[in-house]
Amino acid sequence: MSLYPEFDNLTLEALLVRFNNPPTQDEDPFTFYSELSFLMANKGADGVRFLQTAIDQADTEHLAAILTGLSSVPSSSAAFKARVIAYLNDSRPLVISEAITWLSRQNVKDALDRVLTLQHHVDPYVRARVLDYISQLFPERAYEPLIQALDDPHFIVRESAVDNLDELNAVEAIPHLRSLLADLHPHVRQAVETALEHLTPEIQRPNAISG
Amino acid sequence: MPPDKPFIEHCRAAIKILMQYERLASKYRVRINPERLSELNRLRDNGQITVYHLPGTLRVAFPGEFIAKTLGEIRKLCEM
Repeated sequence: MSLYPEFDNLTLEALLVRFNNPPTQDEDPFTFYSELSFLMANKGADGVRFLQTAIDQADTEHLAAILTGLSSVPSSSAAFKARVIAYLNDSRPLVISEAITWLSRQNVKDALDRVLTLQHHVDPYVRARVLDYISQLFPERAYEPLIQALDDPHFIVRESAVDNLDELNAVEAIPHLRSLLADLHPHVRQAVETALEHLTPEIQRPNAISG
Repeated sequence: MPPDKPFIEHCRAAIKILMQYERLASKYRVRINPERLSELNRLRDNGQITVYHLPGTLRVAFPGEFIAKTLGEIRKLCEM
């Protein structure tokens, strides 16, 4: 059983039909199409080929879902990589954020300069994905941007900064994290409580890294 | 010979995803519908949830050695 159990045993062709039709009632379109895209991408070369082809006619939610799905399987296509980097110039934040996700998961380090130009983007999800990209691909450069992001006005960015500091075992961030224990948003508080649970014992460990 | 104890970072990452999926999914703009969320919460609370129940975007970061294991099984392995 998966997030949409009704998709579990569908063939690629049946998934494609669902992907080309409106979401089930009350379902969020991006969530719905993303799940289908993940399933298709993981059906092998035919699924990947379909998604790469479908990108040309895709609306915003379908395009973002395709990028998300394709981020879960290895890609060796230089042409597709160039296309994803070009999406960083797109006007739609949903497309930009999923392009950054694809670049992070495909370990595309040579997009750093371009990604960094988006760290003050108006959309909080884009700013959060920039933090993910730096943390995953350039952990040695991530500490300062993450600490600065703890003061971001949007909870998604603060929460992402906390999760990344947690995953980087950034024990020197503990005092900064403690200051967010009373954050207004419950997701930030949950992230901080978890990070502190992990990092406080890390002080005793010899391999803990810090900023 | 008993199996090796998993890396503590992998234990933490896996348990965090299986416990905090609603928050983590929303970071990626994934919205789990209320009916499905109730079912996930029930599976989590009885320790039967696996990463296969969760949105695909959370599966990408999930430690491979725990991929088919329930939350309860992972907790046991990580307590060894």
